[in-house]
Amino acid sequence: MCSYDKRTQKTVAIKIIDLESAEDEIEDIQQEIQILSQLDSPHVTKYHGSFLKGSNLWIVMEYCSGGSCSDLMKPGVFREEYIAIIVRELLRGLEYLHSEGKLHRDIKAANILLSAGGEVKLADFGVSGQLSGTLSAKKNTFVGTPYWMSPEVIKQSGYDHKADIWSLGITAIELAKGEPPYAELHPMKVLFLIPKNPPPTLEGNFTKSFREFVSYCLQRDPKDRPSARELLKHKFVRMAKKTSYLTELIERHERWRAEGGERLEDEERDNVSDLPESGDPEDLWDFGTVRHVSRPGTIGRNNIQVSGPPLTWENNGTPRTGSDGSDSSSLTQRPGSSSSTRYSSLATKGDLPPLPPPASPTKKKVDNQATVRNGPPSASTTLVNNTRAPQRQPSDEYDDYEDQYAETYPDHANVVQQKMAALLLEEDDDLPDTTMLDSVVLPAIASLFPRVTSQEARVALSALQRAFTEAERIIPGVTLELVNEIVDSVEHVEEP
Amino acid sequence: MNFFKTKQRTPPDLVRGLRDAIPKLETGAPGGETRRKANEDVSKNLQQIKAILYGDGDPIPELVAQLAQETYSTDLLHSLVVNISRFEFEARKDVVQIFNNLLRRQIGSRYPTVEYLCSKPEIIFSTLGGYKNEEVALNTGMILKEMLRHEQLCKILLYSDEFYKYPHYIENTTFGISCDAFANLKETLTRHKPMVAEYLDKNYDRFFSSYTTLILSNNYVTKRQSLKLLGEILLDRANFNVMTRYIANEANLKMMMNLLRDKSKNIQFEAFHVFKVFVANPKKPPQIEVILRRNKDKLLVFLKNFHNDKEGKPLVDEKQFLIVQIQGL
Repeated sequence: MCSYDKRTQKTVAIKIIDLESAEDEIEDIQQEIQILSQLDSPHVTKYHGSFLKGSNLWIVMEYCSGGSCSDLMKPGVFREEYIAIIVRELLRGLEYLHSEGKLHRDIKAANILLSAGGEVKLADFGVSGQLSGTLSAKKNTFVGTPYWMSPEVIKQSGYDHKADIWSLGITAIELAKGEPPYAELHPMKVLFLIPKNPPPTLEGNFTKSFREFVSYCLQRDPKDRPSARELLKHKFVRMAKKTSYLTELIERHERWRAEGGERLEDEERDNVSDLPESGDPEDLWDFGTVRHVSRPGTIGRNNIQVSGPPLTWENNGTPRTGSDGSDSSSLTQRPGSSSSTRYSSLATKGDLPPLPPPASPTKKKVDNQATVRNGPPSASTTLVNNTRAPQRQPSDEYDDYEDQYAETYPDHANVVQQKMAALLLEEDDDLPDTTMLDSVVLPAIASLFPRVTSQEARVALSALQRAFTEAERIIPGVTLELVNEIVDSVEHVEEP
Repeated sequence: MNFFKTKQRTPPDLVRGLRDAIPKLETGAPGGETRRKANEDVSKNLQQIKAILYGDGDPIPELVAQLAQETYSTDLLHSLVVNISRFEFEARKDVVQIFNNLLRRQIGSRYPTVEYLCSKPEIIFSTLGGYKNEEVALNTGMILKEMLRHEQLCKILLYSDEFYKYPHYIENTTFGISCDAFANLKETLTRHKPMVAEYLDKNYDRFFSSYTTLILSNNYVTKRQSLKLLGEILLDRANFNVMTRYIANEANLKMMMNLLRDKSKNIQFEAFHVFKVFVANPKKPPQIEVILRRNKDKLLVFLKNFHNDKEGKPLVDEKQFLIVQIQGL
């Protein structure tokens, strides 16, 4: 959502997270805000503050009217000269983050924003990170965007700032080709292929320096990848033009939209029906005494997420965007902002797909594959609601990879705060056996809930989840074995 | 002359340079040359002090010792905390790093900065007071957090009246700051358990009358977090005496029973974890048992339906346990 700050007259971006339905501990969100608040760079979207309204947390960030690179690619991929500019700016952003002892962890076109003047900003870190962690160990959920992940991140063998360099290389391919390598494959399978296969290369009609640049980023051993600072010296980016050229991409996108390139979706969504107030609590309990008249007021929440079946999607929080925007005191929604309506409408449905069907023959568009998000309800709700640009899924981004207090000298970047634990891949055998159940199978089944309509079907899906859980209890590790079997057989079909 | 310019400045030079520059931040016209220059000096000196402390991964112990001594003898740390809001963005971050590095500095089993701060409690209080200014609250919050790792410093704060300013900072700031203040309150109350247990036992009434305002806050986050922390405090073995007193009080039980029916599921859930302690108590005082017995049927129905959508065996087991207890009343 985009709004403007009355005090500064500046347009700002606001994310709204309903803490009541968010999976995350408030402490974790606060940690992320702490980190965000300490960042100040022209290459990173600036954090302005966070405010609570009922149980809705409003996070106010710098607004970038140009949109995300993944939006801007909708009319077509970028020419190499533009990519060089973007990559240079990204490297500057990464150089800053890494020197501050932070990792982004989710570099991809959808998280790269352009200002009106073409400045390139890294977005979507912190705050929401916990909500949608690429692989969030603590919540045991499997969410995220495997296509951009480096082998060492997937293998959980410990990683550092070089993981961002890998993702940058993948992003460069994405910008050039429209999608990252393996985009046509099921994300689960991709998690197996990235660590197994040789690194992808940039194929096609591109200059040698571009292809070389990408190959530098995409080296299997993180130690072989140059740092952001070193990459800034590479010919590919040294020759890049000024950022103001990037406004051409914004104009191209404007034209494309004006020509009807993007069907405007109906932004009206069913409003979540407010739960009836539970009433004065003292109506129920009998304390045998005179009631306290001055019971403190209840908290001012507008609506309550009705909890659905376990681990399902809930998109019903979405429409709040509009109404909250209008009744806020200090921040008002910018009138007639077509972009904000477009964003919010886009945000509601298609962009947060459950696991795409494995056998899907059609090549997916970038923004579809941008997110594989199989999380418990809250994660999706919050995400859906709040982003200015829907494709730009908040996710785990900054990791203080040094002790926050011991931090900040550039070359100490080795103590990795290992948040991830979840997915086991290949030979990794020291993971808890139930990870596959909790992180993959149950969420995958959960993702089917919104696709079925009858109560009977939902009951059947619940039964399926219970059956898996029960089987796992009796035969620990069985889910993992089963999934391995399935993936193996998939690979045998598709791998030459 | 050039020769001398390149020479590294000594710790006393740096500390003096910094101390001289700080008062000038407020002199001259806003945006004027004097201020700009002063700000530059502050930032530069802080950077160089930080460079000494962190070195290039390899700080020189003699220089560090000299610097630490100089900061103590000039009360530099207090001056930094009090003036941090006048510094530039990066300089504020440097203050935090410098302060926390000195706090962690150890010689044998001694922490010289901690000993110094013990003799200057006003620095601890000024750091807590950083919550008054949203601009720097997260910076000073980080310093406070580092202080609280040390039992002596934590104790000084806990036993002071200043401690009772936490609720004010938690209630009257925006989300990020409020949460940070709460996190430090939690740190104060949970990091050094035996010390805190003794305090809570001795100051039971004052503490809980203050803490209850947080539980009854209109702020969703404050309410939810303070309930959760209450549960943690009560269930900690170190706080057994405090828990016994808490669960003997009927007003506390009523509050929890009401919170069980809060609109927010999360708050209900946190309240449940406090409520269960009342019910599980094998020696329930009469006033508690009376309330539970009077609501027996309603409680049984309520518990059977409580958060049935939630997964997780522990909750199911605990509910079952409570149901059995209540049936037996």
